[in-house]
Parts: sequence; C-alpha cells; structure tokens
Amino acid sequence: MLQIVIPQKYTRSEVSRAETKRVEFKPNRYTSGSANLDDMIALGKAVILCGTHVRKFDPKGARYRAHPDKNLRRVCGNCDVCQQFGLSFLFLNGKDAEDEQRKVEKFRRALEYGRIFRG
Amino acid sequence: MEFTRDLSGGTTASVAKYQVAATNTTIGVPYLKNADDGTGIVLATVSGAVDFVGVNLDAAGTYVTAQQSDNSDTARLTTIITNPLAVYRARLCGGAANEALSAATITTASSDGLSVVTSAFDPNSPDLNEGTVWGYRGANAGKARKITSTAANDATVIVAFPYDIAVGDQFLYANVHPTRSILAQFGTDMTTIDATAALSGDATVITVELILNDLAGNGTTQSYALIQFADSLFSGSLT
Repeated sequence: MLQIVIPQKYTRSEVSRAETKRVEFKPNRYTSGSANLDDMIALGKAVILCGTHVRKFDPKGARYRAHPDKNLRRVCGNCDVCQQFGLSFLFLNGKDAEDEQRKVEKFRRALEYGRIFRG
Repeated sequence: MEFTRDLSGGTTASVAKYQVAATNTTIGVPYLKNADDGTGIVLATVSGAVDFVGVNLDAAGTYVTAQQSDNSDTARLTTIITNPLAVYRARLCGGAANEALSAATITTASSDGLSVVTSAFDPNSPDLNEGTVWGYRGANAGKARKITSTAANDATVIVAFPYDIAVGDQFLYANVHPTRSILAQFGTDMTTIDATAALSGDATVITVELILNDLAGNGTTQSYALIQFADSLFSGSLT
C-alpha cells in the first residue's frame, strides 16, 4: 500500500491562526455590519470605528478624514461595523472635514490672540 | 457651534446617531427632543433650546416620509454629541445673519473709566444690560467688563476700565456674560450667537466663558462665547 506523506509546513500556532481566521465573521456588502458602514460612507455621514475596525478602514480610499479637532478624533460611540460601544475613532467625509478644519483654525487663532474672560 | 470640552473635566465626546424629523444641511446645530407624535429629533429654534439633545457632527440631509422609488431607507440619521455637560463654542455675531460685530466709537470721554458713551450705538435698544462690553481699540483694548446699566448711547460698568476712556476709542458689546444664563439667541443658521439680540433672563443657555479679541485679533469676527445647554435631555433630571 502506497502512503502519500504531505510535509507539514505549518507550525501549530499558524494552524491555529488559520482556523480562527476561517471561522471569524467576514463582513461584506450583504452583511449588516459592513452594509451599515457602506451606507454611512455613501451618504457622507460621520463614521465611528472601534480600534479593531479602524485598522481595516482606508480613509483616503473612502475620501474620509479623521476629525480635524483633536478633541473629536476619539469619541465614545457605537462602531459602525460591529456596533460595540466604546472609545472609537471619528471620521468625517472630505468636504465636512475641510469645513471643520477651517472652524478649528479660526478658533485656534481667536484663542491665541484673544483673552479668556470669565467675568 | 463646535464641541470644546466637557465640564466634568474630560474632552471626550459621547456620540450617537439619531433619526431626525427635519431637513438639515448644516453641521454644528443644536437639536431638541422628539416631539409628541414626532418622528425624530428636531432642530432648535433661534430662541429655543428646551429639552436639548445635542449638537450634530454631520448633516442629516433632506427629511422624507414617503417610501422612495429606489427603496432606499427613508430614515435620516445625524450624529449627535450627547454629553449633557458639553461646552460648545459659538461665534459672537452682530446680527442674525452672522454679520460681524460692529465696533462703537466713543464720543464722550470718561475719566473714571465707568461710562462707555457712543453716539451711534444704543446699548439699551436692544437692551444689553447684564451683558459684556470690551475694548476694541484704544488704551482699554482687550479689557472686558460686565454692563450693569444701560441708557441711550451709554453703557455703564461698576468695575472701572483701567484707563480713561477717550474719544475715538472703540468698544464691542455682547448680550452674554460668564455665569449668566440667557434665553438662547442664535443666528438664523443656528451655529452662532446673535450678540445684538435683547438679553432676557432664562436658563437654557449658560455662558461658561468668553474668548474676546480686540482690533489686533479681529475681534469683530473672532470673538466667541463658550456655552453650555442647561436643559439637556440627558442630564438625569426630569424637565
């Protein structure tokens, strides 16, 4: 009897990672999580993404930018992909981001030259 | 208006997407709670901020109720900052249409620094008593005081300006003053404060602080009020 031996080129951890990858949820247009994100982008809405999904998001490709105000780059909200609530990243579509950038710069100048008055 | 910070000490905004019941293409507009028989949160009015929900970070677009021919979703969402203690910055404007503030020129000197007298501007019409007057040009540029009484062409302060007020100096006025609460007086696009509207006591908008500029800092277009909405729906108390 002939026995075919296939060399095992993968380590145990690589096999484990591959198995995990195979069963993990893969969002696409027809699944609720990703469809929600696609809808938000198509409508030009603000996009909120958790730490996991922000790594898979290409803002430049979607013509989005992180919010220009540093206080609003990270917000507490529901991720538009997994809907988990937590500290997340906020992105605006390119046009809105430009408008907000102008407001931020204008206020920065006002604050730099002005006086804070509390009566 | 834009989110600045939270009075609790943090700078992190809490945001959520809400369905709206009004068309809006402007960012930085205050929204109020869903009305009886309403379908979503609604825009504040120029003088109304009761049951405040938050300020939007994106535009809701055109409000529709009828089913769409392409079967697209009819719900219109907008991203709202929901921190009940949020402080927002709003530019001080010289009218409802976001005009620049207009500087009033002193026509009668005041050697005690207590009277700001101009011939072309009436701080009592609309009445800016309890508001703020600050130097725009002259020795008192950048110095601000609370207005404690007004008359035709005259605003009086109790704490004197540090220098004599000379003919030709210029001053700016606003209807807001830190720690005072006023009836909301927004510009028509709802992103600014109309600093020329008559000041009337109410508790919906509290002035936290002012960022005031003089001539060197383009004070007519670069002065801000930092405000808090006192009647937040999420403040944890029944309103």
